[in-house]
Amino acid sequence: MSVTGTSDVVLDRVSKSYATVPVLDQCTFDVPAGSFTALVGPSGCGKSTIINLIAGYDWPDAGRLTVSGRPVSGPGWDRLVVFQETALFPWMTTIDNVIFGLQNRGFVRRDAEGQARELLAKFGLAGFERKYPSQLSGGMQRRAELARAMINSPEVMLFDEAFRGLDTMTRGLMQEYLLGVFEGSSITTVFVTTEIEEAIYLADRVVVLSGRPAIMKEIVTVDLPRPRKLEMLSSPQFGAIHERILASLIAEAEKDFSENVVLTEMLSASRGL
Amino acid sequence: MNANRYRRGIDIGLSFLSIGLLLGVWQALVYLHVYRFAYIPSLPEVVDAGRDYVFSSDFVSDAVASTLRVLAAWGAAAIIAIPLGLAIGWNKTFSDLSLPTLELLRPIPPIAWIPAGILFFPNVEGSVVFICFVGAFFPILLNTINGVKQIEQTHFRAARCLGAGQREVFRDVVVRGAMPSIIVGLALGMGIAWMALVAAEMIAGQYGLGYMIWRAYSLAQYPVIIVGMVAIGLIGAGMSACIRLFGRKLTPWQSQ
Repeated sequence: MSVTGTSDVVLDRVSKSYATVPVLDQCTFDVPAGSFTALVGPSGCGKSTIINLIAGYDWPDAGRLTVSGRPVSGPGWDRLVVFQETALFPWMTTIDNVIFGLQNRGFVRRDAEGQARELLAKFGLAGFERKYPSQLSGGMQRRAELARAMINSPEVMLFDEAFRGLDTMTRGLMQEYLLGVFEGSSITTVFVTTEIEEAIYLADRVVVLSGRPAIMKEIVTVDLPRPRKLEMLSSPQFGAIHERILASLIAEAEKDFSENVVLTEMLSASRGL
Repeated sequence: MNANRYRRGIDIGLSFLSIGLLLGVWQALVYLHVYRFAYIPSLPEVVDAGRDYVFSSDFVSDAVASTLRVLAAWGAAAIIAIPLGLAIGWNKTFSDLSLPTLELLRPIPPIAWIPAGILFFPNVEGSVVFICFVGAFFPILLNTINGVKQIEQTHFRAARCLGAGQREVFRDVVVRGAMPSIIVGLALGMGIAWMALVAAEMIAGQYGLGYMIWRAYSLAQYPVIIVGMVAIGLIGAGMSACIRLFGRKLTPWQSQ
């Protein structure tokens, strides 16, 4: 899994509309190679759209979107997505899910399975190779999905609210897990979330997006040391970053009072951790 | 483990009770001459007639003829409807091209095809099988289409970013994702094929269980009618059980 990640992601005045509704308006920011960048913003502000554009499922109407300097031209295993809801194939066993990408790239089944076993063991899924996703817990499904992506040594990993719907305990464990995997790796990571704590805890940088249509509002650098520890959540430094992001989002929400509902959601969510 | 066995015992007991109630109510209605039930044969009469008929060569040839007709029609319907349904469910252009015609044909009941079938086919065999085919075709087709349409978009997206080409997406996402629904369609299609078969045999048949019921009615052998009905019920239930078994083998992820 040692990846020589040198892929950066650059959005340069990217705009996108769906059926005349503008979702992204001249959105500009970059994700430096090997960095862990979180995107936060009100729900429905177009964060998922950004993921879809980087993944190559969709194309910008205007502007330039490049990965390693090359414009994105469709999906590829160099940029892998972990989705909101589990996207494991329910009809395949865990190991068949994990080797799916390798098989598509022409790996011999035996070699692919060997690699997958090793990785699944590392992800705490030894003994579950022949189980179907429906037989795994929510946290195990996410880890299997992470394994399915990581086995392909992607340069860019995209998380689209990947931990939504997990209970607080599992979510916390998954965050620890993710840090364990990504700290020290050079994979470029874009992590979309609605939870500010999660964003700060995991990321090097937090990109704050405005409400729809989304524009980049602010980039907050998280200068907490690595490896990240749970105690940091209660440090003054963490509090200051949290306050700054929250202030930025509140200012945004106050522009349009009707979107306060969304903000209230975020506030109550952020008190949860 | 013990609780499971206990539960299983209760289930089997209830199954027998269900059939026992059916037979009991039937006998009570016949013996008490409720409404026109006096005309309906009683269980002993049916058992008598059944013993004679089931061991006759007539029964074997009727049952084999009906079963083969259903299997031929159902098999042909599956071979055509499953690929067609997968194509319609997956491909927008193909869907736009074929769905309007199919929507027009779908509401026509198989029995309405009987005269046209008799006119079109040179022999009875062809027309009977054709009518069963019409019955089996639409449930299989519609369930296959739905099966493909129900596949989550994220599964297609995941497959594409994991390097799957059109062939892999078709094989590993479309076909396998639609499989549970296809099996439901196959089971429904089998049921409707039997319904259509009996109707077609009554009108066009020269042998077969449907024809045998009609012949027994014409010859006033009323107990034999019931024997024929029971035979159809049992063979139909057996075939449904086979499809369910085969379906579980094909969709192991669903049984857990």
